[in-house]
Amino acid sequence: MPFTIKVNGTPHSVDVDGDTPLLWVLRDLLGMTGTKFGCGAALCGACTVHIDGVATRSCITSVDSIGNSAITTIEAVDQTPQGKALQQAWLDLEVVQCGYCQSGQIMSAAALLAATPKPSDADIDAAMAGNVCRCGTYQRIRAAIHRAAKESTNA
Amino acid sequence: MRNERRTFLKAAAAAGGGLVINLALPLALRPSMAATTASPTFAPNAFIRIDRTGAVTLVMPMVEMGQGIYTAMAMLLAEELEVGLDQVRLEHAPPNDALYANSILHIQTTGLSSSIRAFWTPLRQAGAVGRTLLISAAAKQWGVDPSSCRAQHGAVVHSASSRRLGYGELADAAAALPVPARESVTLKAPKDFTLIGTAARRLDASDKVNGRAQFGIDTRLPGMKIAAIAISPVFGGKPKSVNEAGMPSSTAPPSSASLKRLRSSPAWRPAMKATSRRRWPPRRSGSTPFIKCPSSPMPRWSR
Repeated sequence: MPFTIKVNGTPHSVDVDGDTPLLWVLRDLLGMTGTKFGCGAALCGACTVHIDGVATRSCITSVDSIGNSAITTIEAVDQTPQGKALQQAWLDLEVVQCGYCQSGQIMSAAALLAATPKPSDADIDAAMAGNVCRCGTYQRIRAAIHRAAKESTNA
Repeated sequence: MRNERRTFLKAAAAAGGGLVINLALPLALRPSMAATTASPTFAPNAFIRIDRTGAVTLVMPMVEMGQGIYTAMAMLLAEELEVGLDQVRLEHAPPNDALYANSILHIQTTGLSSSIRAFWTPLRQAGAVGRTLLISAAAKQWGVDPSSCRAQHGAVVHSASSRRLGYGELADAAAALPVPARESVTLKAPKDFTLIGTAARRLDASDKVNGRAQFGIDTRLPGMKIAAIAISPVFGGKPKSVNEAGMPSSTAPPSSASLKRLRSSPAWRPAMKATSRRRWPPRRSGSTPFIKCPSSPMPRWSR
């Protein structure tokens, strides 16, 4: 079945079953492998994208549910001021280790900062709880979110 | 004598993403005796390539999994080669035990906290070989003694005459020189380290914050098929039948050999399922309407 979805500002036409998760459309059909598969059950957060700015687990989001909504992935989150600030904070504080969860982490954090420019630790806990990190970089993620929030409001 | 090196293969993925994977065939360790056409790259060993623009590529024999060894191994090479970490780009080594085996584990495998111990000397020697050749090439060009030259941040300088040549300018000449045995080159004394022992920033971080870093699951090759494994949903269940006709057209039915294995394998061992060009369908491993597993000591088990 043909669908047209808007990803990072560009429309893409794909021919798939309607219940195909957005994650696989992005990765296998569009070749955008920045968004990761971790569990396929919305338990790990590795697949997080933005749909109309809202952090969404793409592994359980069917392509036929998207309609005209704007999808943003890790590949273009630097086009948003929050995404850009977070990526810089991630580098400044050496957040990453293996890196596999970090696309999802940054996408969740960017949605948080867009909604809450100066999040508290409790805000961060609530927004980021669905993104797991086997390497255990949580403390640096928290520090980087605070740093990005600070840099963004100073800019 | 020149180093002989094979050509690089590039395989571009079929679908729209345009991911390119470079498969590098192994570089020769020893120079060829036969004269070859001018090589645009200085590649004294399997770990270093420098082209005419001065771009330095360091080949990583062990896998970066977040433990930081890409950065550490680059530091070992860069220290002796006398380049800054800001001047290098990194490449995964191709599979090649002869060139890249971990000397403690004896094969090209990453683990046991052994990478730095295994490569501490070999990588420093590799860097020192590169540095020695570049200095020799510069000294030869200037008509001076190599000992009066020193290498520094990607260039060779002769302070007495204030002359300087970047590694890119020396690449061709250095590639023409005989490669010294790695045991014969001088390694820096620890008191002279400028990189080793410093808190260098990770070199793999930037691609990991923008989605560009390639993980195993991101591999895309032309014509690649994806297999999902069907696991019996109940302990003790054995596959009874496979409905090939019912499978979606994007899947290929398992071969008769694999069907045979399906029927004879113990229930708890996964059975190979149909392969597909995409991950969806098949949906999730273990859940398929096409393989029936009715025989089980747990007839009333439910998911």
